[in-house]
Amino acid sequence: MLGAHRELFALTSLPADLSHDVGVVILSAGLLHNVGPFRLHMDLARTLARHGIAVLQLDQSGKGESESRTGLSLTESVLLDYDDVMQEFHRLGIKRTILMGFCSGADDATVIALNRDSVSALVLLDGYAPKSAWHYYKRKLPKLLSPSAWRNKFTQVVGGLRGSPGSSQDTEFISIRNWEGEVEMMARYTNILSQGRPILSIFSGGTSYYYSGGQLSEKLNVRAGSAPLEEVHFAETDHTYSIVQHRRMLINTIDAWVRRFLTELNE
Amino acid sequence: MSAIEPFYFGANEALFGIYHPASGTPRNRAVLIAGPMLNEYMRSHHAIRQCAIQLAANGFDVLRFDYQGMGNSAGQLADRSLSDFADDIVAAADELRSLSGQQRLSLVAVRFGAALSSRLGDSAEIDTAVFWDPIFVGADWLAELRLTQRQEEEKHGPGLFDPDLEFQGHEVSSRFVQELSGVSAGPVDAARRIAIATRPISVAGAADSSFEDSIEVDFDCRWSTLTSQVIFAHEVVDKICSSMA
Repeated sequence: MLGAHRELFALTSLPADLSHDVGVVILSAGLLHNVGPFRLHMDLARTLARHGIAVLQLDQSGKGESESRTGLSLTESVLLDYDDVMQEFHRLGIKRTILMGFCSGADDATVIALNRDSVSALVLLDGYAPKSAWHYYKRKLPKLLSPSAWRNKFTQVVGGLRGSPGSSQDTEFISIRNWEGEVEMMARYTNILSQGRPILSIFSGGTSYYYSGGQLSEKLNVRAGSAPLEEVHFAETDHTYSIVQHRRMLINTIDAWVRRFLTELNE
Repeated sequence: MSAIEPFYFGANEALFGIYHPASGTPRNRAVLIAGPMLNEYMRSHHAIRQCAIQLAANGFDVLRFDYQGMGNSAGQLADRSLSDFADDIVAAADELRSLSGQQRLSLVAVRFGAALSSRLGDSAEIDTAVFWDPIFVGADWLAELRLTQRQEEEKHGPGLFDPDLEFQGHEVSSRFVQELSGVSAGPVDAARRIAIATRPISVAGAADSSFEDSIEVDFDCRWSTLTSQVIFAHEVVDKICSSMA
């Protein structure tokens, strides 16, 4: 347990032959605890540890086994959690981190990176992406051609006029994620990359509400000399990679990227 | 200060557990929680944690743990048999007696944890056993698991996984499946046995009265679905804790 009051849960996989002074921190995935969906975080941690990389599975404050921090904003709580992690990592000789965040954890990871220089790179699963015209047409065109979709829309409009509540799935999803506007969100990514910190952004098939491929790279205003953004789309998977083969594919992708990053860092 | 003590225990320190020392007026009893398996573990984690916290506040020392091959314990599910998981429960009971100094234990068993804990009475004296949606007949659960996997196969197409060896997002061994189909257990031998049911219970020898009390709760845990949705079953947790009193 970390922190002044020992109320922050973290599980560290520490290889016997620690090869790097960079450790991976896996943030909370939504409301799930540190093991991750279908044991994803545990399996990823052990895979990376086998390659000499220290990994810390974190239950952020108020999630999993960790107590809440009271009287603080979400950003303050997220940053204090990270600081407690770094205190533990310093004790182990680790000075920098690769942050991995899933869903809301991806959003937290970008906030931490903007505020803490010790974050060297990010791995984001189902993080933010701006909508593009192509995504709009890819998503909306089939509905324009579908009689049942028109029927549903009519029902929705009539229901709205009658005062019954209606919500689109898109709006609900985005409001759960608490995203700022496109300009602010893209500025986050631009700032992180321009400070030389690469990002691996992986999107599952569960993001089809807002993502259809390549949107981050398309809209990012990347300056010369910035770190690379690698954007991966596993369109056939669901949001939490419930199929074992899909999960293995995800873990292998993250493992390869992290090891490549660390190799380049040491060169 | 933290009210919980995470630690590894058992042979080769392979089992991950969280100990909740009693914080309320001591009851001089300890409670072991034998949780569910597969995806049900992840989904019920929050509720089980709340249960442990509430029991500790009510004066019980509590131990909950991850079976080997699950959670933060060592190993992979696909390498284990059902009797291995039953052995994990026995090891956890021994650890709880050592930590708490209590010889007589109480048990909370969730879903298939009920069948796995049925042998616990051989090695430990059980005072009260409370079961949440217990499964005692392996073939019943296997039928549910197979139905879910067939539905996933229809969604994703064939060839992505073996629907007889991948259940609720986890790979299992053929030995596990074979053993599961033959499981027909009864509730653990205990002074009091109480069932908390959100759905019908399959009990070996269903005609006999296996429980001193059976409480129905109107709440759909959706155990059979392949979802990551966390189960917030406050009413179930309250009933478990009040039954333990």
